[in-house]
Amino acid sequence: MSKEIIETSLECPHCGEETVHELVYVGRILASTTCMKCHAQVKHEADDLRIAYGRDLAHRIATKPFRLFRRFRRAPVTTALETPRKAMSMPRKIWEEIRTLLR
Amino acid sequence: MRPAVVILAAGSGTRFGHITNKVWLPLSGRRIISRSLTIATKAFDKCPAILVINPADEALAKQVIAREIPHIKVEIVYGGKTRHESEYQALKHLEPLIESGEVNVVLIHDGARPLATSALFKEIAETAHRHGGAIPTIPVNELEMDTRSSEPLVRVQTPQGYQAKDLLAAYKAAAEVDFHGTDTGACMEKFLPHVKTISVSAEATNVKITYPQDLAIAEHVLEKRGYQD
Repeated sequence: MSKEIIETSLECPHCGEETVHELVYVGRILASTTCMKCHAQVKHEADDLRIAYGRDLAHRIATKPFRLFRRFRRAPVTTALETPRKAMSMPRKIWEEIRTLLR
Repeated sequence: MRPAVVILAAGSGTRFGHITNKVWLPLSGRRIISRSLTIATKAFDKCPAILVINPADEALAKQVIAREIPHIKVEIVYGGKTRHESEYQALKHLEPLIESGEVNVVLIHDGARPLATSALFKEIAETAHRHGGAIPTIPVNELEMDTRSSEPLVRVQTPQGYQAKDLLAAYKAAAEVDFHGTDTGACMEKFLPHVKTISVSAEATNVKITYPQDLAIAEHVLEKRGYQD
């Protein structure tokens, strides 16, 4: 999944009321929010987003062994069964995220 | 001190149809509500944690708890139509523990405030235990106001904490006359005005996710904290 889109209700500073907003995430980073009524957008500058994504990706990679170990302790069988498949798809997932950023 | 924490997450995300309630949004890799629950429970050795939800969110709540915070024992309670009703449902759920004395302080926290710190929870609980009640407040800048006021105004945050028996009594009294307060402090002020509520210095970063930019601010604060809860 290169990006995730979620709709939620937030106060729009432009409309001055609670409206539906579309939130776009790239990895764990919120890339933009768009008011579905007035289309006002809050978003990272492209360069900032890439920097934020890079920092977050480094954090994700650095903490992965610990998170995996924690998950394994909680649910050893499920984790053992799921990990190979997830590990195989991880490079593609990250590549898709990077491609989204570069677009 | 034997505290219990109540996290309010019963707000409806369905006001505009089928959309996500903001407490279930991802924030730096984990849902906002997971962060709120983690911070609240981390403050105490062992305490009951009550999550008040909209019944429509039950499946999601169970899934998120199992995946993100399985180490926290969370009791799920269905909320009401208003914040006040949700608080009352949580207190009714805690009633046996309050009556038996196993819980003597209750902290009520807005699930959409994922950046409160454990230190703030601890301070509110200890102050409420000593004095009766405690709420976090932050002074309002005069320049932000349309009119000048001679009295200092403060912005009130959560968690708000009170001695459990008093809080339950106030909410029972409110139910009898169908009173709906805007927050915990309002109900206590109305029905148990003799209970002293102490103002504790709030945290500027303890924002309630309301505006789109609040999500960006929260992400930034979490990054600065090293994503630690």
